[in-house]
Amino acid sequence: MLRELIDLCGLAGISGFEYGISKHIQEIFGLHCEDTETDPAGNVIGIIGKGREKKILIEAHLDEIGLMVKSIDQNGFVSFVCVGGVNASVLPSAEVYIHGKERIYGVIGARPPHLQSEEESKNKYKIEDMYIDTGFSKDELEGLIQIGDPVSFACEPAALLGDKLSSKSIDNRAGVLCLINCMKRLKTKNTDCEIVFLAAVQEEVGLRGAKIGAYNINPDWAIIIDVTHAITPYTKDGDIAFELGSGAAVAVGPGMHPFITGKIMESAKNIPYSLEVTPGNSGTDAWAIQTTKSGIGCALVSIPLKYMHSQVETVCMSDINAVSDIICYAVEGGIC
Amino acid sequence: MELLKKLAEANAPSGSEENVRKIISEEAGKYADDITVDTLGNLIVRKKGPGKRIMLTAHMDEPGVIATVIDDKGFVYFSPLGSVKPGALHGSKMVFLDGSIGIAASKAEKYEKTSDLYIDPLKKNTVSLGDSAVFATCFEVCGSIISGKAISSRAGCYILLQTLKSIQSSNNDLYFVFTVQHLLGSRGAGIAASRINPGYAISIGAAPCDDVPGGAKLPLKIGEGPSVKIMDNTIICHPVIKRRIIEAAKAENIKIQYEISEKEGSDSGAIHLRGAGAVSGAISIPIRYYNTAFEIADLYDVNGAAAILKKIIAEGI
Repeated sequence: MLRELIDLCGLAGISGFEYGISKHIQEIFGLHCEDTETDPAGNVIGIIGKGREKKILIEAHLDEIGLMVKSIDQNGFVSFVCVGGVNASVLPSAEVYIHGKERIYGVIGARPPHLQSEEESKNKYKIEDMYIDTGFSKDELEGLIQIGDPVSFACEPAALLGDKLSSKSIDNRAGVLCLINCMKRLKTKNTDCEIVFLAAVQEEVGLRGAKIGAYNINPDWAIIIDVTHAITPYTKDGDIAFELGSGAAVAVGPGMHPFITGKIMESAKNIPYSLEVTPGNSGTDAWAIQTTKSGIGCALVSIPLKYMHSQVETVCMSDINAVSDIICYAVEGGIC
Repeated sequence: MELLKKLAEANAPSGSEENVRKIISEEAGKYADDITVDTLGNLIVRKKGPGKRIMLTAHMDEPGVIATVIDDKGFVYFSPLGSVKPGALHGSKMVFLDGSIGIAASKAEKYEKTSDLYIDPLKKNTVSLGDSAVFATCFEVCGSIISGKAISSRAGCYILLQTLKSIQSSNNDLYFVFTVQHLLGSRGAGIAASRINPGYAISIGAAPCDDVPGGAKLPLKIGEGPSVKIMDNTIICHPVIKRRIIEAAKAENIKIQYEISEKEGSDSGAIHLRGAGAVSGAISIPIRYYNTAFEIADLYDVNGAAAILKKIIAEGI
């Protein structure tokens, strides 16, 4: 499973430019589902138990945050805009790939401390003041990259001690891995409903893919898988965060339907889980799916993740198992 | 008045509207051709007729809070459900949905963030994570003035029920929708509109009014008549609806005001862009101390809005 997550995280698919990864994910879905589809937005859909009376959607977004080429200056330095909620503080020293005509490696530098005034050293970097350095001049970049090209982080996923992985885009490839875990297990079960797996695009830019996907699928119920914050030295009292390795976080609040959320908690058996209180917008696809068409009852199950929206997002593999298991138990137990 | 009191004293924060839904179902039952509750909990009461499909809405949910952290001494920390201002919470008696009481308090000098406050439950260890609470205030009447919590939502429910009860037979196909999750962005109204697909929609809501010493210079006053919504943060109301409201008010000899709310959203806004769109507008009841434990409104405005709505429904849009 670690190998599968490393492979998923190694793929580049920033919001709006998911075609590379979506093809790969559709192939994996095809190994385990009766049928797979894509839709005009690029969402990837896998179906098990087609034609059963009721329908349940299990969803995770497949896109990742990234950057986009804004302009190229006279010396070949590439300025960029953010796609999704990029943390400007983690960009200096980042390694990136610009996905132009070819994939071009580049680095985001920083002003050396020797040259910084005391005041400068206290200021945070701003996106508009940072550049990607590819080594090439403007002329050499001509025809290779252009304005609008997507930029992804280039770091290699790395296993940490104690069953943990650190990488870019674990938000939400870990969720996609849960989808795959669930389909592997549920394909042999005779459940009471058709199960539709949706790997949705463009979550990071406003929950867009899920809205279209849920509209077309129009399920009776939906379970959304995403990541939530894990406790680190950077979390503060009052932050809603969970220990890495503590299992699944099951959301409660007005965005969640008590029936399906209750089913998940009831059928959890010995799977560890915590309650995540979401007073309003959970910031996940659940918020968009809930008000699709004439309303879809949603549950949200999340994987604790350290350092969200950085190149060193860190997850514990046992939490991915807990999320996959808790969902499978609920579906196997009968939801519809 | 007993009905309005009963509605206003029922506890129904966004996402947990069942207490109010139950009262309305019972009241509406014998006047309705059909009653359904949808996925998110909207109560849809239909009065069938051959003509246009008209959707009338009022929201059931009221400002509340949801428990996010409970410390080892039993103090409850919370987040707001909807736009409850921290200043409105300090010193308020709160009631959880199981009926248990707590006092919202703070040791901070200024209550700028909800995290500055906590709830001190009278009985410890009864509150669980995710439990929600609302203001615990009794409904008061003094002449034409009413005061209490949740008047900004329940006045609308009351007006819709009064209108429903007044209908003998309808020329139009009427859907009285009592919506959920208005305070989280009119989420209930939007999905109900998808289900009903109305041609026309009128929402009954509330408008903050600041006609008090030191108040902002908003034109609305309580007791000067219900207000016809011109626009808010989510809609510029359709001229047909505005005109019908103004005409009906004139015919019924009811004073009327004009509402422009720059910061508020409304059910009418959520409805008018759903599906192929609907001709949508709203009547709002001016409310003093909006979204607090002690909202104040005037029955002249409430009854006036009901009379206007009855007139419009009787004559058609």
